[in-house]
Amino acid sequence: MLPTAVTVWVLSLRDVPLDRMWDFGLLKVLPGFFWVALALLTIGFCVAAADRRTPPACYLAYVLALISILHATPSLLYPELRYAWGWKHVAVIDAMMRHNGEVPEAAGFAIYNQWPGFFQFNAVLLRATGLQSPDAYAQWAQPLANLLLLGPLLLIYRSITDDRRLVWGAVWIYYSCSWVGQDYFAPQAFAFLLFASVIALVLKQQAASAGLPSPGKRRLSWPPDRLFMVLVLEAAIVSSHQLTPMMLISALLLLSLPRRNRRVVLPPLIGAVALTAAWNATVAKQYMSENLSDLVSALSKPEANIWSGVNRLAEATPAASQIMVSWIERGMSVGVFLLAALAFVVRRWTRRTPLPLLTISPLLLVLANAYGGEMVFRSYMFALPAVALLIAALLLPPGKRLRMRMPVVCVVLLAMLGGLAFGYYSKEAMNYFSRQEAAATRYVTTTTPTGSLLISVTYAAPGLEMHYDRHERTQVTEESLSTRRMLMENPLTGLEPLLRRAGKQPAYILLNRAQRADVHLNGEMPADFVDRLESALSRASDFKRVYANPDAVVYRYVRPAEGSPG
Amino acid sequence: MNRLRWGVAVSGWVAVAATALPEGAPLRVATMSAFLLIGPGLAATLLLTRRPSDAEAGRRSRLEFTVLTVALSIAFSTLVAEALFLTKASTPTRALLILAVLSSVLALAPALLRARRNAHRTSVDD
Repeated sequence: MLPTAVTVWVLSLRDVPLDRMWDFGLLKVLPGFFWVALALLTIGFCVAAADRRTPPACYLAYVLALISILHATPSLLYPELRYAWGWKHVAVIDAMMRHNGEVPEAAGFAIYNQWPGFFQFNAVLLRATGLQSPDAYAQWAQPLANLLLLGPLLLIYRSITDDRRLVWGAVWIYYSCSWVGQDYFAPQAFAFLLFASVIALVLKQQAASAGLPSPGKRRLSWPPDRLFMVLVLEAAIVSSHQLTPMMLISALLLLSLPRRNRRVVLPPLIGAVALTAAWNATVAKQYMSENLSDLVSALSKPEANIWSGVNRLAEATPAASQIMVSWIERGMSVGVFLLAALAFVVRRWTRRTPLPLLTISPLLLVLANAYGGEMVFRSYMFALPAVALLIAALLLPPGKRLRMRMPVVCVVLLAMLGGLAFGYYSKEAMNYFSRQEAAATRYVTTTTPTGSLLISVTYAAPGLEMHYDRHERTQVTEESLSTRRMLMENPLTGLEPLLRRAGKQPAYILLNRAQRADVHLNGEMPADFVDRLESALSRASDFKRVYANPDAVVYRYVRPAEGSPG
Repeated sequence: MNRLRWGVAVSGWVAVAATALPEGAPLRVATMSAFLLIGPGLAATLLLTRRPSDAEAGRRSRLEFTVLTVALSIAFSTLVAEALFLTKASTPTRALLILAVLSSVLALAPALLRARRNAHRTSVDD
């Protein structure tokens, strides 16, 4: 079934009409054969799992096919890098390479100077290879990140159980439920890989330490060189991302609660705390001193922290499709945790494993900080490796014949993939960029004078942050409610406060297809706002169209005092 | 294993030499990517698995070996790059040189230690 599924998938990718993506993104434009391929693959996996003699190589082939179908599909279809945030990170690498060090005038991007790990790794890779930009491989970051994660996941699961079916079932469930989309070209995906590696090594050491006979001998918790390597991984995490060290400390702290774990868990825990404290007190001192009071005050608002993520669409009028998707995402997340809780109750052996503690540890941070409304999703991401094995324990109990139960398991796995498809693919109208859109933003960022103000309606412009040290940028959706109301009433009058920020510097307005989709999907402005703004700009005498293609347009603000604009 | 150790010890220097190739040349891209994603981590992992009991763990430890190799390579490359970034001394050759020295030392450490121990034993016997 595996070769058939892969063949059907490859053939299904011909002539996908990406330009017709709108509500539900890729879900609407991918042909039926794509879904047939995914269903065949899932059924094939279930058939393989029903046979206890299935070799690891067979499971591996199924999982690699799943990763390819889920994560390589956008890479194969899209002509440009997916996600506006991915482009932003390309811009940061570019700026750091140009300055050969910290980027001055970085404004909101100064935070990246203080956690430069991911960017510097890429800078070294680019300089060493002589490639001009990470675009070529960044587009494949998602399949690559998921592929690399397979190793630590297997190591985590194998340190808990020897049951092959359980291990590979958990891996399958992990990839089927990982809908939050934090696997793109970003410090989070980079640090998550290292996080999973540290947890895997700690659990492996824990298992090895527990299994060693110790009659009259003092057991060594860690060989010194192995502990040193764990600290190296922790140092890379601490210097690459703000949130992941907190997730690591939380996980290790909870793992250290049972007395039997402390001998192994305490040294890496102490290391993680010391390294984080040292980094935050030195390289990241500026960020910490500017934000410490906010971080402390967030600790006293656990309810607000939770709701900022769960309720993030409350202040907007999203498209009906996105309201539905949001409920599917919530339903899937709740369902996943309920299945894990059921496993905890029904499969008693899981209570003696680190799984419950690893599930709870990221959720504690939801109470501590909102992380810009993202914490709920990040916590789900960090809890998922443990949750997946709990669910696998529920669905595929070790030592039992599963032929009768397999159809039910198959339906559950298909439902998980269905939920993932909604969460992962339904916003693609704003995450996909055409070559024309990329060309328009390249025009704005490379040909406009230094100091220009670049205005866009949303962040969905590919690479608008390029040369962020040379340009000011502002987004309509980031404006105050009163400014946005003015813009809704009269786009040109509403633009005036934004244009005033340019002072005597030139101001440009970029509108593109993805911004239109972003506004429609997320509803932070009325769905027709981009069209109204463009219509108003095209009629106004003080705006000149300086660049246009079928997917994007750029206007330059011509001040009344200016004679003939360039 | 010895051949692998020597291969890893040399790999960094091959990467340094590959900087002479044209920028973006496929051979240069492949050499650098392979070294930065595997080299330093493989050297460190070989150091960790020098004990016979670990080496004998066989297939089970192969997975751990692979995970450690990739994760440590990324971590070492990142930390070296950051150190150069923070000291405003970042050049590709410098980063590769440091990683090449690190890989050589880690890969050959057991052999160097063994040679030193043997020399010490010989002098005691004498």
